[in-house]
Amino acid sequence: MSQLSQLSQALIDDISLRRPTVDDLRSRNRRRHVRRRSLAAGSLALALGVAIVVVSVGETSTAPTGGVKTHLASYYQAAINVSNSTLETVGLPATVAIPTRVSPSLSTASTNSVVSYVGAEYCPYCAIQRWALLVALSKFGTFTNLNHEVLSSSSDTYPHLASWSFIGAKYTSKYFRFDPVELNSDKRSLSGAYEPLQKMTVSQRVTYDKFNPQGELPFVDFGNHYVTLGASSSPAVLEGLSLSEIGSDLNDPKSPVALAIDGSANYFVAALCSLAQTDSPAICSTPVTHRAAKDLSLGVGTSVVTPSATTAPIQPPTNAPVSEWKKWSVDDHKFMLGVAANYRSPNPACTIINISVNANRSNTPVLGVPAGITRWSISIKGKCPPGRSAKGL
Amino acid sequence: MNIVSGTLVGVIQKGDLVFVESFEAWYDREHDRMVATLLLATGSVDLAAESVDEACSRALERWTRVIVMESPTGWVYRVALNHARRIARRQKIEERLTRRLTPKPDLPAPAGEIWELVRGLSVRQRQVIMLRHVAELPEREIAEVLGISRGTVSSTLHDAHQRLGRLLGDDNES
Repeated sequence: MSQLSQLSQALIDDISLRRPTVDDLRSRNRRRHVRRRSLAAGSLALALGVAIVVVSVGETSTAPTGGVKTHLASYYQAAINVSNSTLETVGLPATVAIPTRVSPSLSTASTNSVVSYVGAEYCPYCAIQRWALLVALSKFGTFTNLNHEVLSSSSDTYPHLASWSFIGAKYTSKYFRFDPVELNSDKRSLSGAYEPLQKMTVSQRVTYDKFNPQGELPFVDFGNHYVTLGASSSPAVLEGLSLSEIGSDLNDPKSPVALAIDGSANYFVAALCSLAQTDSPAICSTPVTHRAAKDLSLGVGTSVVTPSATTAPIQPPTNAPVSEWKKWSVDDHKFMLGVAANYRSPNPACTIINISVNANRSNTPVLGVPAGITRWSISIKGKCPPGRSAKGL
Repeated sequence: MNIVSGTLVGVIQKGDLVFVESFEAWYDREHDRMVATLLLATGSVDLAAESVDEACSRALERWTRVIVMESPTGWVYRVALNHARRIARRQKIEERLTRRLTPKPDLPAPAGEIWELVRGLSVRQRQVIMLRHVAELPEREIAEVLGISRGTVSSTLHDAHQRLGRLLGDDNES
């Protein structure tokens, strides 16, 4: 076989095909999802057409026997049925922003037991926040008529995220009212602006202006006790995923989707439990909800992943043996990884997309570190909602 | 959020943060070998490139799940071969409908030389040989990729080796 192996190696070395970049592969994924959705929409339209014909034919001969049943697609069902044990396993990841505590006042009294969501269909940050709201709110009540699939803007960050909106959705709960508003569509008008959809109620506008003066989207108000401005986790985890894939990932506690969405939902559940004081559902008694409630009251995360090293290793003297410096470099790497794993943005409205631990090696001594020894540094990439500076990420 | 350290990326597994090879590093290492394998298994440059791109894009999409599999590379080969099979089937139907024949592969050297050597093998033999000698996968993983038993892989390899041995022997003699 040596002749075959030699020729194969020559072929591998000689492959002159253009290797697509990783970004090319990402674009390919997005195109595939758009194609799939178009196909699904076409099939649905065809099925609806057939159903209408069948119903019309049926109506001519028999009288209707009952009302229309509302059936939710599998991905909504997957979000609604995320189990308490999955939420417990996901816990409170360091990458999820904690809702901010606010104080109800006379001006907001009319909405003190109302959960309000203000977003827009084009907005990628709303795409991820809706999922977390769906997971959390489903523990306290029932959603019907969720059937409005949308795509986030193609020109914003995180373009073409598969999502759905609260348009037409109904929610019933014995604990509180849920008032969702989608301000704009995902379609542009002739002027280039996104078409307006719904308007805030007067009382919603009062809380929106009071707690969200920068006008960030999405804005979620948990009965004027806690608010979130922007997304609670990075929409990056949804990139390239179909609604079905997101739905199935929500029930896999190891998936980045579950860590982001279920992790956010854990904080939302704790915030909602504060509105359901009497006869609260079982979810309010779980350990993760108790921990989340504690974080909410303190305003900082106390339940984070254990770092591999908690304190920075002490730098040896410059003239120490190379073996000691190499050991320091290994320890410093571990420490930096721990820092990266536990990093939480001081600005809760911002989301962190990527943290890199980078190696730096110099041929000359730098800051007391001898030549040839690897030093480690961290770089953080993130996104703050429009209107906020990325400073302080 | 991804936590990246050089060629490693952090994923949470059973509550622990573990560092695994990043997609970029894997892609950089495996891409050319995958294209070569698919090219020699299918005999088409375009089909090989398309199938590898499709499989790699799917792997990228679910990398944190793929990389913790027993054989991430094997999984990608499986997706690529399935994709190639689907396209080839579609092309055959089109050929039948339009009565238009797809031109025979005209591969540049050194792919052409290898193709001349293996074109007489059955499709299964060619796939097994390429996965073993170009992709350098062990027999156990080839069985996984092709969805067949390990015994079938061994016997197919044995038959193909005998046939190729004769061919290589002929080449050496001439």
